[in-house]
Amino acid sequence: MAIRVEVYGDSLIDAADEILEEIEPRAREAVREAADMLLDEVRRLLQLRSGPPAAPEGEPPAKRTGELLRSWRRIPVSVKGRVVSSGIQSRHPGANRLEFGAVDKRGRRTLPHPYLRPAMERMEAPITALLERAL
Amino acid sequence: MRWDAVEQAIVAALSADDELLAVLGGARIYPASAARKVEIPSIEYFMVADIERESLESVVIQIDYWARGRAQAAQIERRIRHLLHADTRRTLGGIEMATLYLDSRDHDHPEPGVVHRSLDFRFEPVRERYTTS
Repeated sequence: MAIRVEVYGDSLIDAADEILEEIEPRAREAVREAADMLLDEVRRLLQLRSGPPAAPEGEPPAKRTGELLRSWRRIPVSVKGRVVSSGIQSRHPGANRLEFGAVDKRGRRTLPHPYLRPAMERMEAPITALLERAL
Repeated sequence: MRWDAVEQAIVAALSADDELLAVLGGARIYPASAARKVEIPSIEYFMVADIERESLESVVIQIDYWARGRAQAAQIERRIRHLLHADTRRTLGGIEMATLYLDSRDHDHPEPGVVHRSLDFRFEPVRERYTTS
């Protein structure tokens, strides 16, 4: 299952049509930069420790093969109507399981090893500030 | 950050709700543990920690619940949201805090008919944030 986080430049919603053309290039650049900030933080958290052993429950997972780390990509910037968006996503099968925890077919449990939500919490203020400055 | 106090406040709020306890068949509200077999229905809570942010004020908690069927799931989730989400700050378990629903998701579960979902809430103790020391 893919996991995806999007970043929106909401200020465009209130802009008049004639202003939109002026703002759009700046908005695209700002949203791309915001997505990169989030991506960098996710990648940083995924490299905090190497394993085995596995990371303690509640902490970002230990890097083993590096596949999860490499699987995270920025979503290309897109413009739909007055909303400019980008974000990050991973299609790695462990991306969801490690972030949120899971119960497998035998009833065995994996508790969460959050790395995405801590990255979002940490980057929310800097990304908001970036978008406010740019837009 | 008093995450332990936040956890206690959450458990106190959930455990004091007769409607929720009736759906669960008792106080089946536990800290998440890989060693314990999942009870159905039940609720578990888990702190979404960031190992580098011990001094941050806010805490994000993941609340998992398991239910038999969508109807029971709706009953449980309705109570969790009602008890833990508020637009204004309030006192929860003796701690004044802002509490906010953030996100939710479905999870697969191996047993047919069992619904497993999790919800994230942000808790921000107000007293601790604004009290000077």
